[in-house]
Formats: sequence, structure tokens, C-alpha cells
Amino acid sequence: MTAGNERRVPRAAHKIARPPILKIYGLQCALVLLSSFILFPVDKVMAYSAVIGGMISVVPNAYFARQVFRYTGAAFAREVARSFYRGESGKFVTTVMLFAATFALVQPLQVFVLFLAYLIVMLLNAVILARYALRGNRI
Amino acid sequence: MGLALIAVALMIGFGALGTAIGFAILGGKLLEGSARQPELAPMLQGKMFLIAGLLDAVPMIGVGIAMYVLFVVVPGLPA
Repeated sequence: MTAGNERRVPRAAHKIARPPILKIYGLQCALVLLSSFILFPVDKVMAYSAVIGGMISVVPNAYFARQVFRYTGAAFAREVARSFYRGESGKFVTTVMLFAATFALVQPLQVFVLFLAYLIVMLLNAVILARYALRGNRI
Repeated sequence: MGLALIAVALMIGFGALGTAIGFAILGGKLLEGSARQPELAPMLQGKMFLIAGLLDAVPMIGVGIAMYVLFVVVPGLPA
């Protein structure tokens, strides 16, 4: 935005804080690493499969969240929608690439544990965001 | 093997299609809502982010299974 071409942003647009993205995804990373530490004495392959599965969920979601909250407010509604689309396509492509790289390069792999960790982190993400929305911007 | 590849194509293709339709509707509603009540735009954005996380959960699992079929099941099949 240049000085000569300024757009007025409504005051209310700045009042509502965006979700603490770093905190949400940091918490998810910490839980994934904790679960792998717990699984490590049981089975090494299981431990790193859980880490990989969790990270396949966290990394694209974090990218998506970063893209979504680049702009805020009614004045930037078009940019918000555009960054939503960009974030979602990036998330889709990143997920495909991470899964492909994992199955092509990582051997041996516990596929069941990988998918389970992926599902759990995905559900955790939805639960954290829903709690954040329902509890008035607190995690 | 050919059927497995068709299954992978369908899983990825329909997953992407479903997500695209959902996001198109979601984005359109955000623009509409922001135009009608600009003061609610940041709240709508937060809600949209929440719904987006739920919207693409199932297609992403489908993508994961498709990649599993492509890289693990298909190489093990006889040509």
C-alpha cells in the first residue's frame, strides 16, 4: 500500500485478534514429539512413523493458517479470499508431496501408525480451533 | 495394476474437486458477508478458517490413502 493510494481499514478490523498460530501449531508439534518419545522404547519404527504422520498434518496446516491470516478486515475481503484459495491449494500440494516422499523414501514404515498419527493431529487441530472459537479467543 | 491407478486418479481428482467446490462456496460467502456487514469481516474470517479445517479433512485422508496405493500397493502388484 503506497502513501498516495491508501485504503481505509475499518477500526473494528484490527480489534479482533487472529488466532495464535505459532502457539497452536507449536502445541501440536510438542504433542507429536512427546508421543514419539513415549513410543521410542516400544518400537523405533513406530516412533518415527508417528512423528512423520503428525508432521504431515502440522506443516501444511501451518502454511494454510499463515496464508489465511496475512490480511484481515473488510477492506481486504478480496485479498483474504484470494489468500484462502492460495493457502488451500498450497496445503493440498504440500500434503500430496509429503505423503509421496514418505512412502517413496522411508523404509521400513508402520503405515497404520502413520495414518493414525495423521488423523489424531488433524482432529486435534479441529478441536483446538473449535475451542478457540467457542471460548472467546482463548485456547 | 491399471485399476489401482484409476482408483488413485479418482481419489485425488474427486478429493481436489470436493475441496475446490467447498472452498469456492466458502470464499463466496465470505465476500458476500463482508460486503453486507463489514464490521463482522474479521469474525467471519476466523469462522471460515475453522470450517476450512473441517472441510478438507476427509479429502486429505483420501489423498494419503491414494499415495499409499500409488507408492506401496502398486509396485507390489504384478504388471
